[in-house]
Amino acid sequence: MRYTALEIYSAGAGKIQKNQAFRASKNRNLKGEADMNETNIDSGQAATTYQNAGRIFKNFFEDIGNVVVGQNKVVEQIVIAILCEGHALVESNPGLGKTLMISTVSKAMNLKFSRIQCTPDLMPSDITGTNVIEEKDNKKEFRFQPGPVFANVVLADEINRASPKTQSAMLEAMQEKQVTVGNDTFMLDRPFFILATQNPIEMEGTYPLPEAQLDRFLLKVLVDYPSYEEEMEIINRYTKSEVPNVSRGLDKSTLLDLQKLTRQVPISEELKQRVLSIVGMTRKDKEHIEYGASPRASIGLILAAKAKALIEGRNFVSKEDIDYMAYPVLRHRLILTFEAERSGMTPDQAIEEIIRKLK
Amino acid sequence: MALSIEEIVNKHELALKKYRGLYAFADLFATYLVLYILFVLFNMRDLFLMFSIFEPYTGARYNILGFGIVFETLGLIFLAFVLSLIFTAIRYYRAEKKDAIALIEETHPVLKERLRTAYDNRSTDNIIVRDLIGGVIIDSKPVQSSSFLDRRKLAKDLFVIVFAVSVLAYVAGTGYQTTLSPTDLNGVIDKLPLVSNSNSELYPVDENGGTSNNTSQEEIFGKPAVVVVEGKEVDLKIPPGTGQGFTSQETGEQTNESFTQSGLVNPEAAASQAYYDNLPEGYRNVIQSYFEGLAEE
Repeated sequence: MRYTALEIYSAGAGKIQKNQAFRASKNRNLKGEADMNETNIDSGQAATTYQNAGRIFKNFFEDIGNVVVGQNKVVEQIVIAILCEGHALVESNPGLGKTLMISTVSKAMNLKFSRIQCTPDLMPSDITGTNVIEEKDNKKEFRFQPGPVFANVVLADEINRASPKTQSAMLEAMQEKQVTVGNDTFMLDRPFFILATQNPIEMEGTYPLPEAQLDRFLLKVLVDYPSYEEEMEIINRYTKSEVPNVSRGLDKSTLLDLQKLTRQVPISEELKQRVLSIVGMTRKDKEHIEYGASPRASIGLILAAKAKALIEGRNFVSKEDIDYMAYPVLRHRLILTFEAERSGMTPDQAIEEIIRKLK
Repeated sequence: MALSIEEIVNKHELALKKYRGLYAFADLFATYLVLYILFVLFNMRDLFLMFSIFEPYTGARYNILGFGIVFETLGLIFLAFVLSLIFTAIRYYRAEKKDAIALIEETHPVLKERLRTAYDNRSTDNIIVRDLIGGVIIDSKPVQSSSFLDRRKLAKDLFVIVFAVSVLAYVAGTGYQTTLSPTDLNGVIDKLPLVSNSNSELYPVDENGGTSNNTSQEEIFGKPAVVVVEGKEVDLKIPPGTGQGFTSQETGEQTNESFTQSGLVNPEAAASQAYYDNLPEGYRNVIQSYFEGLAEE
């Protein structure tokens, strides 16, 4: 049986009649399929969204910039992942403002935000939710208590500290955009975006994500230390009594329209071939790369390039979009050879080498 | 009525095809003229004398469009045409061929990547593609097919053609030719496999009646034939020196000491004219008198 998060909240404590739920689920599924098959979203609102896309993104990034100092590329890549209905893995040292960044993005998008601090003893039910017994009118009944995954934007902090079982539960939610508890399956509300973070240091006592699971993240975003000027601005802003805040510049329906518009951005055959060449070369370059990227990477790269074009206010994908997005899309999908790693090569350098060869 | 993106691209593609044909023709003509002039200047007509297969036709005149043209000239024209056709075809197929979209994008940066994307997605119908195609159609209005014409390339070909025609006119007027000719390459040609004439059927006959070219051990002449003339045995052994004919020699007859044996005549096949030119010096009269004697008998 499928329930949406919205339904769970609206149902409150009352038990959902199975038949009703089934019928509702069926209708919803049919509607959902129709939505998915909808290729033409030329409704008045979508057209307006498209016409105003440039202004919407400009205001949005300005809003974020009021709170998050610098890190423009990181914010942009997070928004790209959201537009592509994908998820992002952020790797950075502690204290670089990951939580602030993602909570600011979700606030600016007027989305429900939740945070999961992953630890080795975190259980799947701590994420997905669980059935609790509730007594009402002298009757005891089970009620589903949704976990933190029932939000639009979820920050899974230090995902590699969670046990593989918990990681799997989260990855099911990421991939299927649904949660299964017992015999019941609950649909997650759209948009749904998980930003998982990893700490590149302190690897002891962690459960590194397997390559197959890493592949499910659309982007791997690297957060670097701010520059001197940026850090000065950070301390100026955050040592005052008044903490900067963000306005709610983007509503959910506009975001959903932008997600649909992203897929409509046209791309030329030549650039599709370039994407296949880049991804294909990660499999052929046996000198530096032991395992290359999967076809999922090709799909991800094209989608990410489309989102980048939309953010830039272009109605077509350019070669620069492909090359720019190749790094965050591919870097976590490559396994370098021992020799390459020993020589200090990074996945980004391997990708750069591939792009240089294709120029 | 505005043209669709497909019609715009097809229109330019058609123009581009015409221009490519023009380049190919200009290339062919220029190459042909240059080759023909080189052939004339370097006496390539002698080439036909070097191959026995053409020998019967040399000097023959053919009436073409009222002009009497000798075989060698016709051969050179044909050879130059075939070679220039081959060279032009190779150049044509090796040349980088840009399609109309690439050329438009190159000459009009405002359409870069947009035109290609719009063309590839012309069958897609959504708000963004419609917006893109609309913009591309507007921006492609100033694009003229004539802007694809590579005038520099054509000017280069034209210059070569004019230069070649001038040289040809000069050569035709003055009869100027270099002293080089393909016969100078005889030595080189002899060494070439398949082309060489060293496999000629004319072999120098050695003193034993065999041939020096006969590499096999088989004795093709057999034992010297002996005939009996008026009770005397006369052998028919072939004397040294080819081309001298048979001479009867009685057994035991003393060799004329004053007789100086001539050198071996070049046994290779040669056109009659070339053979005449290469007669051993000083023997012309002897040979002439020999044939006159034969005629009197």
